[in-house]
Amino acid sequence: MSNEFFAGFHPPHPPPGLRERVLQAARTAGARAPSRPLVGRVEWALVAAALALAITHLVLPSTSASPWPAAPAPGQVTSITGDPTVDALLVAEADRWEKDHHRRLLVELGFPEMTWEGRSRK
Amino acid sequence: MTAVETGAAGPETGGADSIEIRLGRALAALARGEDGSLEAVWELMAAKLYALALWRSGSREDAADAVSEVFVRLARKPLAVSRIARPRAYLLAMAHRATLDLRRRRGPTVALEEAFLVPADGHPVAAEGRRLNQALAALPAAQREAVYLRHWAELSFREIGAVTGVPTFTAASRYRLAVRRLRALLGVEA
Repeated sequence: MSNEFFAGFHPPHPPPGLRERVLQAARTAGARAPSRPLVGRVEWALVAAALALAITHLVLPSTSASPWPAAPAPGQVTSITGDPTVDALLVAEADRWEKDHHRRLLVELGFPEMTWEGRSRK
Repeated sequence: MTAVETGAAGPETGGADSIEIRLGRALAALARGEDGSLEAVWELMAAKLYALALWRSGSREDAADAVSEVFVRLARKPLAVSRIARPRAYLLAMAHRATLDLRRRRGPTVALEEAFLVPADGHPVAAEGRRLNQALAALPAAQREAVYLRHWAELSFREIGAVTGVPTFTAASRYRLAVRRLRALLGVEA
């Protein structure tokens, strides 16, 4: 737009006297402003907290004894609940599949009465 | 569509980067406490900060106070401002926030009587200028501010969004709505 609108015009400049007034106020404010310490209060608080944590870690004895009983091993779980573990179920399933497979293979080979161990069922 | 609408640079092309560099140097000097650094920042930015506050507030008094607020804050924390990557936009954002704070404290004005633009040749505002100022006064403050930041401060829409605290799309939308309304008010064909 506005090239044609604004041609020959510009925004007004700051009024006379404002420069001195503003710069004087800024200088006064700058002189009053407290110089910021290199490490502020928050930084000091963080450093103190980290130090306290480190000292506590070193001073206090490490106690490995837990007030809670240790978790039972997988085998113990079986003995407690009486149920087979997932692994045991998988092994049994694989064993059954293998026996079926062998039996079908012997039938296809013409030895239906034989077992895989070589003994006759009869 | 003109250069400003397409996002091309405004009337002071090539000046923005130069001002940015000089302003960065002036702020660094201010952080080091060098004499004359505050004056250097004034020479580079005062007119722009004053005009932005005037276009946003519609009040010469508020504009002067907003500029004063910016320089007081600058003097209090020169080190923090000297580390800003885009100091020009940052100072404009300071002026924007100072103006909004003043408007909130002082309440809305009844009518805008201010001249947002004056003749470049120094002559009194004639009929054309009065019509232009009336059209600008009829714009919502946020739209008028977007026009100033785009056309006179030469900011991109992204920078305008950052300065005024709105998304880029909103900044661009405000500018385009302002242009449409100015055209309608001034009877100019698109």
